[in-house]
Amino acid sequence: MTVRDDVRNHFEREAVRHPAPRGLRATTISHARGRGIEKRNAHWIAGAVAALLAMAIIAGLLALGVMRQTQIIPAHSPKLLFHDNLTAAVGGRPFLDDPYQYPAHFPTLKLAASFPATPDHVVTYQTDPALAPSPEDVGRVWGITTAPRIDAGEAQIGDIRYYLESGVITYRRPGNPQSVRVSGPGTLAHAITDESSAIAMTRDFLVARGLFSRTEVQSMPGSAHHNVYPTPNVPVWSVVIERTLGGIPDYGFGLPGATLQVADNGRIDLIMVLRRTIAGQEPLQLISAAEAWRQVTLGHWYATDYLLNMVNRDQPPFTADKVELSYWEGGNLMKGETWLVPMWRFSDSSGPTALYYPALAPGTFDWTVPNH
Amino acid sequence: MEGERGAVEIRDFDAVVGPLVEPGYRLAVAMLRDPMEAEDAVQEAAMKAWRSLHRLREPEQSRAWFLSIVANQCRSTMRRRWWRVVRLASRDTAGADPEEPAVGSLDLDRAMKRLTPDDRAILHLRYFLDLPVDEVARVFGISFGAAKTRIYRAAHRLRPELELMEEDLR
Repeated sequence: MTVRDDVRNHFEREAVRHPAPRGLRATTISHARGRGIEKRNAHWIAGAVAALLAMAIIAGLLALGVMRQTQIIPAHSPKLLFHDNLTAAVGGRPFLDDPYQYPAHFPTLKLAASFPATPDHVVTYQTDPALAPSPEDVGRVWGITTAPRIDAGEAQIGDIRYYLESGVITYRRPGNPQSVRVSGPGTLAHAITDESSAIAMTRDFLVARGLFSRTEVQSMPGSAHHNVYPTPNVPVWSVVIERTLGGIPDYGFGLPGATLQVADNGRIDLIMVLRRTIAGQEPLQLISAAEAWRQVTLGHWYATDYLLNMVNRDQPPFTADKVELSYWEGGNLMKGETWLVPMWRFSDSSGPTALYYPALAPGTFDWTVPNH
Repeated sequence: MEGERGAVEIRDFDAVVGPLVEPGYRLAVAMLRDPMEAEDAVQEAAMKAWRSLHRLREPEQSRAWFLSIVANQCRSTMRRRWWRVVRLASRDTAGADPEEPAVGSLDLDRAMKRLTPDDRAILHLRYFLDLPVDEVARVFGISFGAAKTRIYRAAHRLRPELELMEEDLR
């Protein structure tokens, strides 16, 4: 027995004794973003409080007026903030970049699901950060009249931090200004009583802020979970509204759609919206799920949602018990050249892992076939 | 990219850090030997990672980068006064854990408990997570040679009678 064996055996026993808590990844990522935003804003908030106090001394009621203007409460009827162009033709050809993936090998890949019917064509979408709303538009829709403070590609609009890319300085890569986040004041209409009320009020909230149309948001699946984070010990609802296009879910980096963290009383602690603006579309021919699965079993899968064992190449056996068509945000994300590429998604309900293979017919898009 | 920001953007946080949460938790458990403290540590580390994501220039370095944040967070946890009093005082006197499954593993587990948290961490990274020595070095912010030396010493403290194979140190 080598030292390596000894150490490995010890930590394997430790892993059995102290398994990672369920949902650790999701809660950790969500918590990190929420706390990170709070801390990032802490200095600004302190400064703003001091400034408001000074203004109150000097200007009295005038300061109150300014504060009212910066409340995140829509003052009038909602206006849609994002405008997808669903009729224009795409410019260029869809492509998938080489994904950042850890090496992985599945000892067995089995199928325990039937293949869904293959549509003749499915729309492939092209997105364009240039079509995203301006910081001023974002502020206007949210009833914020103060000028945005823009720094290093981020616009601070009241409590909203809006990521954008001016495109004026060539050293800056075209970003994705579709991320809208809000922290601080803001509430849902009522206290949350259960999962369905959390989802319904979140949908209303997103429509009222112009982030999604009523038609869109009603077609987007929602879920809500009540969590208690250990630090600090505060119960919150995490509400996720997932983006779909034509009934097909949009998966990929980030969480396309909207994520809110809301206290029991309806106070919103965090909003994250990831919504790429569509610039054009093209219906393309698909391969069948059966052919995609055959390619997966040959080790040609494109991407995974999650690897159970990220640090070692060898993964547990994988049994696909769900097969679905989905969108994957491909292209070159770093350059903002994004395509929503149809993918066949194979998932194993015994764990979080899912494998993706492009659903587009060969010759209709560009990619390098992976070989795992 | 936003000016001087690095190659990895905040919107890629899930993709880059998400798969590292569990390995980070395992490292924190190895160092702190307390699941609740480990969970807190990895959450704090993730928050710090979120705030410093722009410093990550090479996505390929993300594992060493995040695990180094976790290790530093664990050290911060252990610097707290109550930790020193309650945890470290009991380290050398730790007896057999009633949940330990096999008599044959007791000696090893006791020996592991007697190691310092950094020794446990370096063995965990090298032999459990199978990190190459140069990546272990990046996690600890030390040179390749220093990492080899520390792995060697930690292994000898664990098993003084064992000779390390050269392959164990590559």
